[in-house]
Amino acid sequence: MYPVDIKGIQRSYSGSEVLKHIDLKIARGEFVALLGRSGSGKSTLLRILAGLDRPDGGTTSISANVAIVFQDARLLPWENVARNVAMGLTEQDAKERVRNALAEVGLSHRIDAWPVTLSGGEAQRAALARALVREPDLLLLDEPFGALDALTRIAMHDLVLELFERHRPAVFMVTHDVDEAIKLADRILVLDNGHIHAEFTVERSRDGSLAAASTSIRADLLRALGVAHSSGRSRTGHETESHHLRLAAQNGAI
Amino acid sequence: MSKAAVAKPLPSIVIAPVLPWLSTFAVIAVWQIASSLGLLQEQILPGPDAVLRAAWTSAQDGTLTDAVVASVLRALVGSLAGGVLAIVIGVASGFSRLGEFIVDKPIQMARAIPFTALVPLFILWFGIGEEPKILLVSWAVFVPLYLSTFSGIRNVDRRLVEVARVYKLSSIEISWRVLLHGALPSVLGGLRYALGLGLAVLIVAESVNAKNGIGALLSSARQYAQTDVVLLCISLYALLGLLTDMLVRVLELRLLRWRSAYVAQ
Repeated sequence: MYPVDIKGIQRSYSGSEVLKHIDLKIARGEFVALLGRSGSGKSTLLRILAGLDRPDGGTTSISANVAIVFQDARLLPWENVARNVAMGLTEQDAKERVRNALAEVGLSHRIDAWPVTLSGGEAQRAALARALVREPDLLLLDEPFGALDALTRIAMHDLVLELFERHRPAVFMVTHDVDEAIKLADRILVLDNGHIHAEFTVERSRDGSLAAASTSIRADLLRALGVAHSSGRSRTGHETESHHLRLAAQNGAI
Repeated sequence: MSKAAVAKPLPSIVIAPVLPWLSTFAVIAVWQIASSLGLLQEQILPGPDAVLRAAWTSAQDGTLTDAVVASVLRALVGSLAGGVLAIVIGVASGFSRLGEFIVDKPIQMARAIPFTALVPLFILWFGIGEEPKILLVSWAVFVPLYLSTFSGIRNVDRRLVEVARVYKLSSIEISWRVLLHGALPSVLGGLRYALGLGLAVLIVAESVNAKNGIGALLSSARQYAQTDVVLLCISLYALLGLLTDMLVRVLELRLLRWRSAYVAQ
């Protein structure tokens, strides 16, 4: 039973077909990233998986235990962090679970804080805790790091990977950041013109670095996204930069 | 830069609560002085001391207490009924298209009716007992509070509702935890205005027909040309207005803590 199993999904808005025919299966423990240009229908697909939008055609089988993290944390400003994280929990041990989830994202000290007093990174951690506290089968991430500064983003990448390794939900992440997709995902899809236009599997060595076969993936992805990328020099430049960031993150400098 | 030029400021804790009252006290003081100097005709504008004396005598014979109790009760019951109804209906019609179709249009039309126009109608319908007065206050409170609740709910960030839906909150929970709380700043602003309007309508209703209440005291004082009692009644209304304003302020401090948290840090 896949947390996500959809076939032939179709969705139009006022005559224009945003999604034409989407098939997608995601297993538990699989991290899938969806890349696409603005207006390619990325968010529409995510909203369908979240149950916030209905497809016009096709069949969907989506786990009922879904959690979501948006680009903006979307915490209720009038409830403190603990109450926000506990949203929708009905279990007896909700309080205990909220405490644990906040500890996992390193936010225990802000358990009673009002959302307005949180930094961008803290708010996103709270949103992440709110998602994880219910042990979701499917975790949806809608450009969750888009609004964060570069350093916070790296720290959040590592946190998300760590939490993913521990809980192993199915993850579906929408992003427009190619490097982020390569860093986090096992599988990368490119959405274009209402179809899954290209699909890449990211092979990793045991230490988490990219396997030799996957090093050219960045160029392939950019090509699939229709970004002209012929100059070898600028490409090396990019790779060096992201390599540096990765190193910095691994050293725990951030 | 001489040190003497810098006046030592009073500790703000001492001045802050007094400051807003200074102008009011000044007006009363000028009024009293003018009255004591004989500049004001006693029949036209008696001084503050005369108003206090009128308060004392009517408190002695019980007329003041009866009037205040009767008016405050009407204001309370009417405001509570109109207020609760306004919030419940405002949330329902702000939340669903159907609710909007059913109730919003008629209320938008009804808001154009001046309240005073309803007084004779309500008297014909309900006689001169408590009902027409309480209903008028309810109506006066209901309309503005409904409007501010409705618009407050329509302005709540829909993205928050989406999160609540993903996390499977029920419609009731969404109404309460997301919509009503999000609308509170607007609701409380509307409440302040609505309570003031409720009091104003109560004056009118009580002075047209009532055996007791501040409005009744007012209209009998007018008949007997007791200017001091008239002024006393006006002061009582001012005081009640002030009290309702303070009540709303307390509610705001308590319910909107989350907004001020950032400033307070």
